Amino acid sequence: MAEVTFSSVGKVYGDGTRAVSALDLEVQDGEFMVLVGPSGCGKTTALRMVAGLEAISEGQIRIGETVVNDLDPADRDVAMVFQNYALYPHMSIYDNIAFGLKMRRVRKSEIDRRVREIAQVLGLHEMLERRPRQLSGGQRQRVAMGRAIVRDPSVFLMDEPLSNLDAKLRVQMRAEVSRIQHELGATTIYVTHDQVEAMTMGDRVAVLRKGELQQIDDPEELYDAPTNLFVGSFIGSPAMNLIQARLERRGGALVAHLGTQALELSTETAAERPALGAYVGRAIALGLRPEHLREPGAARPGEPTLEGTVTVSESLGSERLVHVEIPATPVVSEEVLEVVRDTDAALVDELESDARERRAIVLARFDTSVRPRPGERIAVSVAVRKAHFFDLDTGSAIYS
Amino acid sequence: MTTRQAVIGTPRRRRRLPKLGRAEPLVWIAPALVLVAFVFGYAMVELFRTSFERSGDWASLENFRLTLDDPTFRTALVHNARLLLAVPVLVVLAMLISILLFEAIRGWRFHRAAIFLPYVLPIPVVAVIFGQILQLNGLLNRGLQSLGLGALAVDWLGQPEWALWTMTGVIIWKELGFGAILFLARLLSLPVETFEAARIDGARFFRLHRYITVPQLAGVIAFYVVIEAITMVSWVFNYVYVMTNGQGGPGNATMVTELYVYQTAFQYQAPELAAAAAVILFALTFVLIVFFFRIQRRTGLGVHE
Amino acid sequence: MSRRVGTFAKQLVLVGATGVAIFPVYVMLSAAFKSQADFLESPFAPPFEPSLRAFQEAVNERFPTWFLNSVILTTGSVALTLAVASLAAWGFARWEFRGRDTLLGMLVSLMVVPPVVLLVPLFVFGVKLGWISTFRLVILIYVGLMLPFSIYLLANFFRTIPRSLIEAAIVDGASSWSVFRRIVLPLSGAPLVTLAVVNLLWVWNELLIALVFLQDNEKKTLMVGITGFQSRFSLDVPVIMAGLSIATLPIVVLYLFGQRFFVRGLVSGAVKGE
Repeated sequence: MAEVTFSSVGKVYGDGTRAVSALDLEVQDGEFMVLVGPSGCGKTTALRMVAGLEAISEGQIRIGETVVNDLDPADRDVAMVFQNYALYPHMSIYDNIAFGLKMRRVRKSEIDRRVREIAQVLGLHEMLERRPRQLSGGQRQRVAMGRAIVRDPSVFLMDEPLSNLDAKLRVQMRAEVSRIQHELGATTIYVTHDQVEAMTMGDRVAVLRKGELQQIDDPEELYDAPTNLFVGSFIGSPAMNLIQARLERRGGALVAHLGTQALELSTETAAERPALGAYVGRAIALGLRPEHLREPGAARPGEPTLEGTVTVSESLGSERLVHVEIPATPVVSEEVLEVVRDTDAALVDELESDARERRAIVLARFDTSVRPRPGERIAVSVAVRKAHFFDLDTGSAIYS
Repeated sequence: MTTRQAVIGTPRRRRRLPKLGRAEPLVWIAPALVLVAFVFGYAMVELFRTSFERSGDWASLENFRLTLDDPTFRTALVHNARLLLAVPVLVVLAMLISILLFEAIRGWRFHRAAIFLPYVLPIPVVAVIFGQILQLNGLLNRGLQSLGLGALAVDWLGQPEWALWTMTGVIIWKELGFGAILFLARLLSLPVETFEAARIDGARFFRLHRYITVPQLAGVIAFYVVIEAITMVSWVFNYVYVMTNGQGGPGNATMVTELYVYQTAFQYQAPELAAAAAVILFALTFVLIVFFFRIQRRTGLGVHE
Repeated sequence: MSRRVGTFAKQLVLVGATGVAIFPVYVMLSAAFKSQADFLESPFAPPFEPSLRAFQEAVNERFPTWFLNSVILTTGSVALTLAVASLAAWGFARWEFRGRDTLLGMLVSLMVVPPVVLLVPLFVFGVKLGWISTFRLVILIYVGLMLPFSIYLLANFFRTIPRSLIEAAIVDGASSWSVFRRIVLPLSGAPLVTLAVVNLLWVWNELLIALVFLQDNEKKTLMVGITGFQSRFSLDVPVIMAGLSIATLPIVVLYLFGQRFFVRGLVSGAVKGE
């Protein structure tokens, strides 16, 4: 096993498009590092540069102590699992898994031993003679993993390996992949655009946007302390509610005005973030995660509420997702739109028109006992202690 | 950790070939390029050079002037032009047959196999057989006579007025299959819903095919026209040679440019004049080749996906 | 009612077309089994007393030699073409380099250059080197002529191989040659067979170049030989037809078994997704 180090790595294509800029990243030995971000953020490019499938335009990538910029993929001791598995259709499963070893001229008896061992672990021992087309999607995925594992490489590279599986299988395989990685203690770089996968699987997660690293942290940090608007809206499902608010001072306390309503911030919040003082009289982005917007009764004494009209109420069985329309302006900055566009381009127009009309639709998580009806006016409890604040111009989070 | 480091970066044992880097594709292509450069490149350069020479001396455009003044050459060109008249006939017939095959009339696979057969037969074989059939007392005339149509029995290959038309007929007979299959393949690759929708909308045979089928064939029709035009101009040597014993007869009734080049070079032993004639022929074909190239690019029928 | 008439008319046209297409072949085959007198009397009817006389007479000649020559020429040039073309096509499909598309386009356009244009200079060249009536020159010329189409066909196919498959092999440690030999070639069975069939057909049927470059009696090909048949046996039509039948036999057999390869090969270049 080995560490992987990116030092100011950049990638520029022949026609001038830049895919990655000044990437500094260190993957520890044995760590499961996830690269996550919307389409086009450069995560796959970064992965391919480690593999040697893309040339490195700027900077250096080291595997262990060795600079690998000029090394062929075959000489880097890396193994890769592709999104569409890339199994050799004309070879049996056995030959598929054995291929890498064969190319490295490992002794036949050794190949046989290792292939059968891996096949046993992955539950593929019954299908070694079959062809890829005879296998199901999940089985093919395991063959792809087997092909990588059997080579016992320094680094595992995975390019969205689960995205072609159906939802239930994907959940199952997530656990499988994590388990295998832990057992092997293998340094792994995993690319995905699904932030749920990122959060559940990674030891640390690196969020990329337009070729630039936004934040790298363990999942909890990423969730609780996003460094900018982009990370804040990208991480978390359902997404963080972002509303424009004007900060005012009233008495000794800070108050956030959302449209016609006012939320008084707690003294601790003001104390923890002295920088907020500089934004008095200005607009900022106020972020509230759905779980911090609760049903009316849940408010603790002193906690403010927001009034609005229920538009949709979705029952998830374990809880209820309630969409509430509030007369305030949602945040429609570039970062937010990019995240929305990555989900569904049609929603961008909706969000922009909402902003123009000053209607913010926030998602709240209610207990199932409360059943609001569409059209009903409701007062949502706000756990304002957990609010996030972002500068509207720079997108940076306001923490200190 | 140290063993890992030893692995990364060391090339595998027994690397036989040196690293080729950016020149690698050229290594793969090289053998083909060499052969093509020789067969086409060397030949054409030599051809041009020869066409400007006379017994080793520079003759500038002398050979071209002589060739263009030669009535036989001009006749040959005219005949190639007349052969071009076959192209629209081919297109129409091929369309008709491919449409009928497309409609999957009973037994269409058999018909398809039969209609394509002439295209794979060797031209010399075809030419000999038709030579027999089309003789003065050959099968065609005897058949006509037995049907009481003796008046129509002519010397198909022997009479100057008929010879070229007869030749055209044979060429059409052979080339038709290619067009029919080509169009059929294209039709089969089209989404079937278009036709179903049109049928429901009330289009029957003639209108259906006129408004729906034929327009969708535009791409392959253009392709076929260019291919067959090139054929008529410079790929008919075999027919003429075999059916007229290399003479282009009767008289010069079936003389074509290719035959002219062949005769000038090998019968009259005048390689320079033959080269000039070949250059002219190539120039004519070149125009068509450019068309071919353009059509490839425009209709996306090329290697560029 | 009009529907039935319509269908009948269509059937009629197709049957007519088929009849016209097959008739000459029928003539050739039926005449081959007749005696000379039999043919002169009733050329249309199938042979009353089929005999192999005509075949015996036809084959008595240099026929076997011609047949063999054709076989040598065909197998040699087709094999060489497949090898060279697949290497080149892979070079074009796998790597991007400056001028690639232009080079490929020019190469492919050579498909339609008429051989007669190349005839004189290549013949002069052959005379100079004393290579007239040798197989090697003819094979080289044939290969050269077949390369444009062959490269075109194979390059098109190679482009459909998913890039991730190649990348997986590279990361697995395969060298460039290994990728070609172990991944690309095994997947190319169908187009290679198609190409072999199409090229085989072309070489077997070729006349002009064989005529000009193989002048020794010993070296003549089948097509050249039977072209001369006409004048030698002008009165004994069955013998001519017998000769033609044998010459055509390999093609027809191949056609009956591999019709779809012919069709696919000749049509691919023109129809997307074929």
